[in-house]
Amino acid sequence: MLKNQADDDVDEASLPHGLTKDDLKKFLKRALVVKRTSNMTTAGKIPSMYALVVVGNGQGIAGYGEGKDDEVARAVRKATNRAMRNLTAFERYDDRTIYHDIDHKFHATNIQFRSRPPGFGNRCNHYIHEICSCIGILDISAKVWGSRNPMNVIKATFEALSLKQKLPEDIARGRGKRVVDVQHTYYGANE
Amino acid sequence: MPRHYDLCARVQNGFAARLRRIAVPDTKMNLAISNVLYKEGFIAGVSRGDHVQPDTEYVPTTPDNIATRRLWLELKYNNDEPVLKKMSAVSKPSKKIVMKVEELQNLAAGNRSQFIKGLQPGEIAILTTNYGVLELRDALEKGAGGELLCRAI
Repeated sequence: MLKNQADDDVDEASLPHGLTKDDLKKFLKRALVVKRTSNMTTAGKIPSMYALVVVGNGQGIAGYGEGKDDEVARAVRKATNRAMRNLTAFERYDDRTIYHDIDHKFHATNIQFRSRPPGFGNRCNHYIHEICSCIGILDISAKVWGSRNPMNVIKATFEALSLKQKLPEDIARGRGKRVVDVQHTYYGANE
Repeated sequence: MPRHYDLCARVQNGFAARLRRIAVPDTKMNLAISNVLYKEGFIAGVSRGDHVQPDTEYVPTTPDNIATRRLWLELKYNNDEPVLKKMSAVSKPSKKIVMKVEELQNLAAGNRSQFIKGLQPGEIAILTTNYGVLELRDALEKGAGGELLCRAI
């Protein structure tokens, strides 16, 4: 039987964003979902442990991975390695919140994200809270409508925050307008 | 007499269908709203024309050709994506929305007002005021409130 490549520890050459193995050691790792699944066969129920792990550096790079094994620890390790392979960079306004409100639907899970001012905190579903601390989002408000299935909430959050954000620069380029930062240069935010 | 939500539907559907240009009924209100969209950079141009194509040279509107008169809006795309994703009516015949200056300032700041959600980054609102059909921030510069016709993002 061929050894599954995803089960090995991460190869440094395959890491994105110029990361090294030392950087990965400092990553936040959160095993958010650990479940006992069973595969029904002619021989009976074969149990297996499933883990969904979210990793992130708290500075805008995060990813999630799923793993299954007979033992919990090995499943979590598989999931962590897969998460390290699937890292994406997330855009944050002011390095603390999202650029604008986002509505996203993933399977039966609807999530509404709202951008919030500094000092607000992450007031959201506990899975979204963990993901935000891994990404480095400090102020956000979110509401999950419909299904609150943990695996789907996590996948919906990753999809929404990576796909659905539109940067002001891109909007301005499409419209042929100039973007002027008023929040910092005129109103003096963060000073 | 087509209402402003007719234009919203045509523009939104035209962008979704990736059309190059669309023809809308030639009315003063449609022209005024199209001008605001043009100034904000959502569309590349506004011109008068036939029901077949825009005019190459000036054709006066007469009772003979009025039935075929259309406004042609040139649509814009950037990075394989439409520049205008959504254009929706706010004030409807079933519920008219008229706002004062304080309420418009709330909207411009991104806060809810009169059950209307605040403007997101890159979103505009078009309203009709005593100074004519203006974008929300232009209306605030003039200190004018009015009926909130539609919003576009």
